[in-house]
Amino acid sequence: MNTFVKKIAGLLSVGVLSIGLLAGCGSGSDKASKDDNIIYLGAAGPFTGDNAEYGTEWKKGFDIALEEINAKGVAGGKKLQIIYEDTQSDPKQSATVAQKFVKNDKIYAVFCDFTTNSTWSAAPIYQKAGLVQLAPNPSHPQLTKPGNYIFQLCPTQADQAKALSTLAVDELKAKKIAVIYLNTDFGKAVKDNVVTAAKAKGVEIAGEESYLPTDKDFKAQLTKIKTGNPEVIVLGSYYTDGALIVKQARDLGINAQFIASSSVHSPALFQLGGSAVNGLITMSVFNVSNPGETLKNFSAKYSSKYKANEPDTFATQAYDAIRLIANAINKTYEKNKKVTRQGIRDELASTKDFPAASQDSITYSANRQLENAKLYPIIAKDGKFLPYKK
Amino acid sequence: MLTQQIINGLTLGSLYALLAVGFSLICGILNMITFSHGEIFMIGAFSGLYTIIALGGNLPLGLAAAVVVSAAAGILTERIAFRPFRNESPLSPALITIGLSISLQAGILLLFGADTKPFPYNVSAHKFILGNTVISGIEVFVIGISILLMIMLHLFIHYTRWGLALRATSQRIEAADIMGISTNRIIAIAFCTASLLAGIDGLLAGAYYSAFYPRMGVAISLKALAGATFGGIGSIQGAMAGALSLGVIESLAAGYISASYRDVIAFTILIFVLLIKPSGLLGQMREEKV
Amino acid sequence: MIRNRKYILLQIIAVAIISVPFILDDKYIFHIAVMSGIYMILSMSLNVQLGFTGLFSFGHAAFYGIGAYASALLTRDLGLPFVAAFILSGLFTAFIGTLIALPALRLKGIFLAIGTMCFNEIFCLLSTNLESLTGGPAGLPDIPVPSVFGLEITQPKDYYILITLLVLVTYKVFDNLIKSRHGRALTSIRDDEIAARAIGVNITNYKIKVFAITAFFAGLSGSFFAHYLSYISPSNFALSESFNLMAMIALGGIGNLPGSIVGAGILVIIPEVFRFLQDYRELIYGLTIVLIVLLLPQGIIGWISGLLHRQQTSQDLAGSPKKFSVETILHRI
Repeated sequence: MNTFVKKIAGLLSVGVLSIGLLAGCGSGSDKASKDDNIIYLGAAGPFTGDNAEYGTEWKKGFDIALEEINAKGVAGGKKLQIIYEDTQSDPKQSATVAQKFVKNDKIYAVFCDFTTNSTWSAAPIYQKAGLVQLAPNPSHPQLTKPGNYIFQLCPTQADQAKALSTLAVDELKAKKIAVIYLNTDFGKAVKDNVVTAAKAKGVEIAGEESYLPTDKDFKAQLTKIKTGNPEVIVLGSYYTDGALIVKQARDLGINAQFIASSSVHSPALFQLGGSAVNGLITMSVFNVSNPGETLKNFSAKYSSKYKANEPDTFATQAYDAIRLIANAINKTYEKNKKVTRQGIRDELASTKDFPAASQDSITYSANRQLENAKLYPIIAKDGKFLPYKK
Repeated sequence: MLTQQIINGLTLGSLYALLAVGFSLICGILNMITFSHGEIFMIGAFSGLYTIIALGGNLPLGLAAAVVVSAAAGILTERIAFRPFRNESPLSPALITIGLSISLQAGILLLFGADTKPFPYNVSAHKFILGNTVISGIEVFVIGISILLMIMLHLFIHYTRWGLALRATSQRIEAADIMGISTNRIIAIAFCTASLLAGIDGLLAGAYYSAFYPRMGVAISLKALAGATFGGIGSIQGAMAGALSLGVIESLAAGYISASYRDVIAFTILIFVLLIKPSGLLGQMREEKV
Repeated sequence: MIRNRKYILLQIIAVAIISVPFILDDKYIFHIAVMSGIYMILSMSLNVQLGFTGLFSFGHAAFYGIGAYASALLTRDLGLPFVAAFILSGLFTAFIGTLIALPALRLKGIFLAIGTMCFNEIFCLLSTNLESLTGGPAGLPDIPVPSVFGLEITQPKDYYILITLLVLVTYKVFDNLIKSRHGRALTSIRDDEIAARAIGVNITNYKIKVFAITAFFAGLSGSFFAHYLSYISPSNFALSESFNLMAMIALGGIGNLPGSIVGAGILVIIPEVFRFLQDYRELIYGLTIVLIVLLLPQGIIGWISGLLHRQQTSQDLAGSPKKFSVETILHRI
C-alpha cells in the first residue's frame, strides 16, 4: 500500500472515529435526561434512504405536536418524547427495529412505518408483544389485517378510488381513463381500486402503465397512454414522480386532465412541476376549503416554523398520529390512573370524533381504519392548492 | 407512436451513453469494475446545481464546477480504490467503490437533504411537432451534447498522443509500461475523462428531468453499465451504441410490450448478448493465454 | 500446538453459543443473532462460489429470494409442513442454480459479475410483477410459523437454537467439501483455469455443482428467513443485498470459511451498533467497508492469524497471502 492511500485511510479512520464520538456524545446527552416523567414513543420510519424526504416531513409534524402536547403534559403532567429509529422503510430493518422497541418497556406506542411492506414485516412482532403500531401513511385497504394492535391513519385506497372514480366519471364526465402508477404496494393498490371502481361505472380503461421507484423518465409510458387518447389520467404516485409525470406529459402534448391520489398533496409538487401541474386535481385528506381549528392551528405553526406555505399530507398525518396517541394516553390514565400499552390500544381503538388536522374528525372502525374517511377534491393552481369546485 | 418512442429512447440512451463510455474506459483498461460511477454522476450534478444557484444562473460556470468536482472525485477514486490493487483481484476495487457509493450518497443526503431538488430554470425550449410526434428542444439539446462529447472523446482517443497511450495501456498495461508510457498517469487520465463525462451527464440529466437527489445515480449507472456491456466493454463506439440501443429497447419494450416488464426484457437481452458474444456486440474478444 | 489451541478456542466458542439462551432473554439480541445466522449461511455459500472457485457472482440474493418465495408458497398455498418445504425449497433453488450455471459458464470475471447482477434484477422485477404467484410488490404475508416434528417454533430463542444448528451443519458441509479432493479441484479452477483443465479437472462439471450446492444453502437460508419473519417482499432480495453479502465475505476474508461467519456477524451487528449515530449511520457504514478493504486486505481472520503467525509469514512472504485471497483468479480475463 502506498503512502498516499495510507494517508487517506488514516484520514478516513480519524473521520469515522470523530463522527462516531460526536454523534455518540450527542445521543448520550439525550439519554441523560431519562426519568420517570417521560413517556417514550417509538418512531420507525425512513429517515435515510430512498424515502428519506417523507421521513423528514414526519419529524416536522411530530415536533409541532410534541411542543403543543408537552406544554400541557400528558397523563398528569408527564412529557412525551420520541425515540427515532431509521428503517429506510426497508422491511428487514423495520422488523429489527420492532424487536428493539418491543423489548424497551419504556416505549408505549410506535409509529411504523412509511410503506405497507415495512409495516407488515414488523406487524407480527408488535402484535405478539402487544404494542400499538400506528401507521401514519400506508393506504393499503388490507393494512390492518395482521392484528388488533395495528392502526391506520390514512384513508385507504378503496376510499380514495371511490372518490377518484366519482370525480372522473360523475364530475369530469370522462368516458375513457388511463392509470399510470408506481409499481409498489401503494401504487398497485391505487391502480387496482381505481380500475375496479371505474369499470363498475362503465368507463373504458384506455391504459394501465407502471413505473419503478427509481424511474425518472416516463415518456415511454406516456407515449403509449397518448395513443389510447384518454380524457382523464389517474396518477398513483408520490409528489416527486407525480410532478415529473405531468410535466413530461405536457411536453409530449398530452392535454388530458390529471387526477391523483392524496399522496401528491405537497407544496413540493409546484417546485418540481412548475406551471405544468396547474389544473391537476387531487384528493386532500384534509379539509382545505373549510379548515377546522386543529388544521388552521397546525398550518399556521408549520408555516411559521418551517417557512413553507402549507404542510403536506405526511407532516399533517404525523402531527395527528402523535395527538391521537396522546389522547389515548390521557384517556387511559383518567380511567386507570396508570398508562399501559394495552390501555393505549383499547383507548385508541375507541377513538371517536377526535378533532384532527388530517381529517375533520377521526373515528376508528372495528378494523382500526378510519370510519367515514372524507376526501376533499383540491385543484392545483399557480403554486397553491384550492378547493375544487365544478 | 414508433418515431416518438424512438426519440424517447434516444434521449434516454444518450444520457446512458455518457456514463457508459466511462464504464467502458475504466473497465476496459483495468478489467475491473467500479460501482461508484453513479455517485460521481450525482456529485457532478449537485456541484453544478449549487454553483448555478449560488451564481444566480451562470450555466457555463455551473458546468465547469460539475466537470472539476467530478474529475477530482474520479482521480481520487482511482488513487484509493484502484491503484493499490492494480494487479490483483477486481474484487477489492469493487468493494471499495461499493463502500464509497454508500457513503457519498449518505454524505450528500446529510449536506443537502433528502428532498428532490428541481432545476431552478425553465429549460423547455421550442417544440418541433411532426404529426403525432413531439420533439422538444431540450431533447435535441441532450442528444446533441451527448453526440458532441462522444465525437470529442473519439478524437481524443484516436488523434492525440495521450489517446494513443491510452489505447496502448488498455491493450496491455505491462507492455505499455515497458514502452515508457507512464501508465499511472494514463489510468488517472482515463478516470478523469470518464468522471468528467459523468459529471456533465449528471448536470444534464438533473436539468432535463428537473430532479436532483442523492440516489439519482444508482439506477442510471446500472443501466449504463448494462449498455456498455451490451455494446462492448473497452470499446468507446461499442459502449455508445450499446447505451443508445438500450435506451431505444427500453422505450420500445415499455411502449409495445409492457412497462412492468421493460427492465426484465432489457436485462434478458443483455444476458443473451453476453452468452453469444461475451465481449459485447462491438467489443473485441481477447484471447485467453496462459 | 496450534491445532490444540484452535480446539480449545473452538470449544470455548461452542460453549458460549450454547449457553447464551440460558443466560440471556432478550428478544432483540436473539433477533440480531438469528439474522446473523441467516447471513452466515448466505455468506459461507457465496464464499465457496467466489472465494474458493473464483466464480464472480454478484446475484446471490436472488437465490436467497428464490428459496424464500418457494418455501412461503409451499407452506402457505400448498399446505406443506415446514420441514418438507424447507428441504424442497433448498432443492428447488439448487435446480435454479444449475439452470443459471449453464449460461454462466460462458462468462468470466466482470462479465459474470454483470450477468449475475442482471439475474438478480430480473428476479426482483419478476417477483414484483408476477402478482398472482408472488403477491406482487405487497409481498406474501402470513407465512405459517414453522413447526419441527410437531413442535411449534415461536420464540426468537427457539429460532436461535435452530439457526445455530443450521450454521454448524452448513459450515461442516462446506468445510468437508473444501478439504476434500473436490475442494482442491475448486481452488485449482480459481487459481488457474487453464492449468486446472490441463491436469484433468472437469471444469464445467465442477462449476455447475458449485452453483447447485451454494444455491441449495442460499435457498435454505431464504426459507428460514421467510418463516422467521413470516412476511417477505421483493425488496428483501434486491441487488444491494448481494452487495452486502460481498462486503461480508470481504470483511471475513475471501476464501476463508470461518471468516464468512465472523464477517456476516459483524456486518449484521455493525449497523445495529451504529444506530446511535442516527443520520450518520450510512456514511460510517460505507466508510467502514472502504477502510476494511484498504487496511485488512486478508479480512479480519486473515489479519488476526497474520498477527498470530507474524514470524511465519515473514519467512515466506510470497506464498501465504495467496492462500487467502483471490488475487490470482482474474488475471487473465
